[in-house]
Amino acid sequence: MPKNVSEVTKLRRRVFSSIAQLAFEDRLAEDIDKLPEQLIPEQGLGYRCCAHKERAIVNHRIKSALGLEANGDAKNLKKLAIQALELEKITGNNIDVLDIACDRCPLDKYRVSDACRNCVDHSCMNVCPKGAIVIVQNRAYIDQNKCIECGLCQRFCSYNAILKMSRPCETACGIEAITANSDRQAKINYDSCVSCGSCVQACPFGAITYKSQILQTIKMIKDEDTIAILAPAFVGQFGAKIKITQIKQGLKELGFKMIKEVALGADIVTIEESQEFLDKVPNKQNYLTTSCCPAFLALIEQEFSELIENISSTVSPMVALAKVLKEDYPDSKVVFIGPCIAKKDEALKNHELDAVLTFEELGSMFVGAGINLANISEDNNCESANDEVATDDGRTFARSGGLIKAVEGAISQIDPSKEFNKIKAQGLEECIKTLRLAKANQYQNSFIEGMGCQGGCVGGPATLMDTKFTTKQVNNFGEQSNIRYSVDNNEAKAFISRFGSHKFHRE
Amino acid sequence: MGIKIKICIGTPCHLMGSQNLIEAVQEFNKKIETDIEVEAVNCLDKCKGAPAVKIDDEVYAPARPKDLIDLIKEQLR
Repeated sequence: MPKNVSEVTKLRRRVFSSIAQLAFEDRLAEDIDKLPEQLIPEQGLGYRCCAHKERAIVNHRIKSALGLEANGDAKNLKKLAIQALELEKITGNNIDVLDIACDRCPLDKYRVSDACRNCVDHSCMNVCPKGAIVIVQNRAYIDQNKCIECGLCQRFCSYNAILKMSRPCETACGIEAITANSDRQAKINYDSCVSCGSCVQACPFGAITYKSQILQTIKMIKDEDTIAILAPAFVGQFGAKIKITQIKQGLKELGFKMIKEVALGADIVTIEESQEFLDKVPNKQNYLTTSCCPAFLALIEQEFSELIENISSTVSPMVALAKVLKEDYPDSKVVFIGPCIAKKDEALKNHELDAVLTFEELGSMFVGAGINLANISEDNNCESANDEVATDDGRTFARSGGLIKAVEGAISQIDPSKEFNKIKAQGLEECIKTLRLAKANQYQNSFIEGMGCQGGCVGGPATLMDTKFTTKQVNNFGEQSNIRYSVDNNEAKAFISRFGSHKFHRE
Repeated sequence: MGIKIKICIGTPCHLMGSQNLIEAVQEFNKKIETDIEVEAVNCLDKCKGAPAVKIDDEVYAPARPKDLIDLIKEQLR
């Protein structure tokens, strides 16, 4: 999460809040047609050529915010709203390029700028292995048909006159899953994409967005008993001064019947994953990789299928908690709320989850419902930091190194003599490097923690606060727990003995 | 001459980046000698124009951190 909230992020949040407000007030179909004019004033926002173009784009943003495919016809918002209200389940890809909003950034990677002085040396021409540089009108010019993008000219120019142009979405994608097609329109290759959301954050035109489940969730909390489960990265997301009891009370005021911390699910996962490590490494395999991060898991499945055997079969904390809640409250709906877009994909594959919201979507729902967390009393009936709901180790799952800390802690309690080599990867590029080394048999007796985002979940694409800040908050929150190790969480242990270990493993 | 600034940290303003405004003022405060008193408040009753800021007795809606610093500079003049 970048330090400053960008203008395109603000626009997305305004769209989300407006949809939430109309849905809470039961006037979505009636008033949705007025939204484009409310969101984009007559004079426009100054991003595009005119207000008309901006409004045409905002129609597609609204469509995506309703949970529908962003592209295609988006003119008749009322019709789309009715369609979205009847939608049983989100289908298709969660992340998509809004074709109309993509500015078709130039592809030419190296260009000569005004700083070129047509010097005597012409080191650019001399160094170019393809003879792609010529002098046109007293300035160097790169023939793009010959250029092989080696970058030597840029390195050798004494005036730094050669610029490297790159498309922000392509640069941000750690796995080259987004490329330009022949008319320079960005396209996502869904066979490679792991839904990490980096491109959503990176595009300065806001041309990449994700489908929201705000509308479907509001319908759920109105009609049925709905349980909110909060990812461990939730602490501090609504500002340094907002306490966790205020966030939980806010959720109750939205209409959620019960609020649970996913850190409890993380404790279940730690117990299962440590046992798995003790059982399998080194008898069956040289190392075990984590499976909590859906982007990391998808990366292995799609790009490193030969390593699948080495992935932990334990489900994610989200799924573990949802499974026990569905046993105890079979008629309730379960909604996960976190920093992650990839979790939306994971939930589509797990029937225990009824919806996934990001912190950004939740914040927009608070705004739409007129709830200001700052005005809620901190002293309420909600579980606070010292209540024994989860351990220190379960709560620090949200940051890079957290899983290692938890599993190492659990193993130290069960078999302190066990060899446990820690390998940590954060961000997809580092994950890929680590998996390449794993493929080359470089790891023995190792536990590999992979998280798709820099900093771990606290650095997720739909967080509301800076990564460093949330890391501190998460660590402090962990320290406030009276229990250190997951293996000492009696509630987690009770769930495992009630339902059996197999319940918490993928088939 | 000091200025009093109230920055709203209510949920609508938080979502529109009020935390960035607080950081920007604190940074600016370190650079100049004038004392700026920053206070985080729960609501300034201008949720539609979020993020809202009150400088002395006037409420403003600076969209970006830079807009707020410009406002402060104007006040200091």
